[in-house]
Amino acid sequence: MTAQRLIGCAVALCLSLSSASAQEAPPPDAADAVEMIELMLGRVPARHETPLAAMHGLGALYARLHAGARADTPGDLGLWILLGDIALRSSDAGLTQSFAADLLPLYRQDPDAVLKVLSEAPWLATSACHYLSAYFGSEDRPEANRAPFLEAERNRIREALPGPAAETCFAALSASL
Amino acid sequence: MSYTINVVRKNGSGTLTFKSGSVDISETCWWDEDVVIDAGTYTGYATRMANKTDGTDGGNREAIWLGLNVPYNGDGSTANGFFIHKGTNAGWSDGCIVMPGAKVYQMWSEITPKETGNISVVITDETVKRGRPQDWDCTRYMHSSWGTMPLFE
Repeated sequence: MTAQRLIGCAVALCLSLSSASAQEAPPPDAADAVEMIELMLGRVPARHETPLAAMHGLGALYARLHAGARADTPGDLGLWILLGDIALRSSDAGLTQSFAADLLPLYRQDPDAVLKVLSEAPWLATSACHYLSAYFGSEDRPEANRAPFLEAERNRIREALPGPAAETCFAALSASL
Repeated sequence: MSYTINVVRKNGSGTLTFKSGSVDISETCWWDEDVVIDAGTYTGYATRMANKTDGTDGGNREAIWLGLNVPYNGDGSTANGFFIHKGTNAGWSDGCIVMPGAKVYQMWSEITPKETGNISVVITDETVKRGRPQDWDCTRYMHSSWGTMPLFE
């Protein structure tokens, strides 16, 4: 497969993920989408001139999408969760620590919105539920709140996600650090 | 001005040392044992983490970024998001090196200018050497003043 076809597929993935969450959602910002594709391909995003700028640029991309997701900006929640999947797959420790701290509060704010994204792209459940799980016990947050959270959300998750994705999520949430 | 941060790892924890001017730090540090940066020397940048708002001075979290394509787990994998930052145990790390926030802040404040690759971060693994090799196999060759004991096959 040529590089152009790979990028084309990834663009289509980003666009479909964004529009799947709300059909009326606008497509993602083109420069942001290209940056995410470059990250998926293991490249340094071309819009940043130096490695340091690339690191800060990635942090800024996270912040924009996170802020958009918290404000219920159409499409941003799906893109933010996709960025989390990229971060986990690429072992970006700075970003994964941020997702571990930030996804669960956003889930508590609007669990149905998060589960809608995961029901439409079930392959994201592995990373998203890893982050929900990683909230507990990391950065001195109490581990004891894990079991009550899982029990409170078990039925909601089971009803929202396809069976295998729900089981993946339960397994992740059951595993302590 | 250039700076050097040394990290010597042992089993599960290590010691980070930094010396510059009146600052002389030797502090316990930790990391996620599932994501272990390969031993080596990396160019570090004193910066802040964009999405952590718990900095010691009230700003974003102070940190030393280790640059792009840092190898980890000794299998050829590389990643871009490793930092030295505050933390009280390995639960603060997904691969970063963490140590108490006051010490990170002391070190970070000493380094100027910020946002510059002016730090050498040297990560080494301590080789534990205890005791000494046995002089002989005492079960086969028992030396004494009466000469060598016979073998008991």
